Amino acid sequence: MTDATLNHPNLIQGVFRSPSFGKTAKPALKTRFFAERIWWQTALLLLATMPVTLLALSLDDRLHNGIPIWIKPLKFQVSMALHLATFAIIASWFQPPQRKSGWMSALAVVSSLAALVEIALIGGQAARGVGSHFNIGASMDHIIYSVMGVGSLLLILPALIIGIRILFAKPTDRMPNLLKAANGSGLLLSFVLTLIIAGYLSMQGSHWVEAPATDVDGVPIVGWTKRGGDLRVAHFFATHLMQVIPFLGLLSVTYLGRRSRLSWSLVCCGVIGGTALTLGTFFQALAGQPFLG
Amino acid sequence: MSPSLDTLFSLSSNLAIVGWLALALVPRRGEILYRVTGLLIPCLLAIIYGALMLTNFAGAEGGGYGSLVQVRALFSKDDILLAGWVHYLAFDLAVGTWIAKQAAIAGISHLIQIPILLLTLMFGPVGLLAFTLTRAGWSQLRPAKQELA
Repeated sequence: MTDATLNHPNLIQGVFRSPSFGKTAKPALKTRFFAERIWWQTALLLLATMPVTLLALSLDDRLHNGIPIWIKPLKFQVSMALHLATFAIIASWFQPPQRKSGWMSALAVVSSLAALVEIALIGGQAARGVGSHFNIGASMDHIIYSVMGVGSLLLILPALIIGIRILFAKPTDRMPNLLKAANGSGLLLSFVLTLIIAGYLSMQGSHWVEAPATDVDGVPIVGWTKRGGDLRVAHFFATHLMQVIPFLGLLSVTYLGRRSRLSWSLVCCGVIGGTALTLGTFFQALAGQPFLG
Repeated sequence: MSPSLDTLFSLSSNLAIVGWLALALVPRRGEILYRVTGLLIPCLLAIIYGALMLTNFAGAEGGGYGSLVQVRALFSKDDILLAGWVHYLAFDLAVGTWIAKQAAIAGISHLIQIPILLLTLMFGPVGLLAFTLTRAGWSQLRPAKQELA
C-alpha cells in the first residue's frame, strides 16, 4: 500500500484498517494490539453463537411480554458486539504507546468479560423462561439482575475513559482534530446520557410508562411500544450515539477532508441532533407518549 | 472386587476436569499440554468407555441406534448411560484441545479461548461452532503479513 492510497482511504479502510489522514503520513503500522484483539474477538464470539439463538427462536414456543423469548438475547448479542467493536476501532486510532498501554488492555478485558457475563445471564434467563431485566421475583433472579447492573456499568466504562483520553491526546494524522472531536464527544456524550437514562430506568419497575406491559405490536425488531411511553427508546439512542457520532466524523474526514468546514458542521450537527433526539425521546417517554405511534 | 459405576463416574469426571482446567490455565507453550489433554486423558477415558460398552452392549434390551426409541432403550441401562457420558467427556476434551491449539495458531487470545472452551465443556458442539465462526471472522480482521510495516 502506498502513501497515495492512504491519503484517500475509503470508509471500509477507515473502519477496519485505521489509516492515516495526513498528506505526509507514512503507512500506518497495521497491527492489532492486545486490547483491540480482545474487543474484536469477543465481539466475534458473541456473533458466532447467533445461529444457535436463531434456531432456538424458531424451536421455542415460550413467550416473554408476549413475544418469543429469544428475541431479547438476539438483540443484545448484536448490540453488544457492535459496542465492543466500536471500542476496538476507536482504540486503533490512538498512537501505539496508548494502544498497548495497560489501561487500554485492562478496559478491554473488563468490558469484554462484562459483555460475556451479561449475554450469558440474559441467555440463561431466557432458557429458564423468565425475564432478565426488572426481574426481582425470586432471590436468584434478583441477584442476576443486580449483577447485570454492575456489568452494564463496566460495559460503558471504556467510553468514559477512552473519551477523556481522546480529548487530551495530541492530534495525529491517524486521529486529526476532527476525529478527536467526533470520537471524544461521541463517547463522552453517550456515556453521560446512557448513565442518566439507564440509571433512571434501573430505578423503575419496567421500561413502560402508561403503556400496557407487552411487546406485542411494538416497533419491528426493537419492540418499542406504540401505545404509551417506552424508556428503551432514549436508552437506545443514548447508547448508540457512540457509534453514530464517530462514524459521522470518519465519514466527513474520509470524503470531505479533515479541515473542511462542512466536516466540522456535520459533527456538530451529530452532537446537537443526537443529544436532542435522546433527551427528546426521554421526555416523550416520561410523558407516556410513544416514539412511533 | 470390580469398581462400582459411581467410582468410574467420579474417576472419569475428575480426569476430564483436570484436562479442562489445564486447557484453561496452562500457557500455550510446547506440545505437552496438547498431548496430555488431547491424547492421554481422552485415551484413558476410551479404555473406560470401551470396557463398559463391551461388557454391557449386548445386555440392553431393545437397544440400538436406529431410532430415538432404540437409543432410549440403550441408555436405560446405567452401565451404558455411564459409557455414553464418558464418551461425551472424552470427545469434548479432545475437541476442546483441538480448539485451543487451532485458536493459538490463529492468534485468538488465550482469554477469549476460555469462554469458547467453557462453551465446549458445557454445550459441546456449540463451542466448536462458536470457535469456527469466531476464527472465520478474525481471519478477515487480522492484518495480513504483507501489510505489516
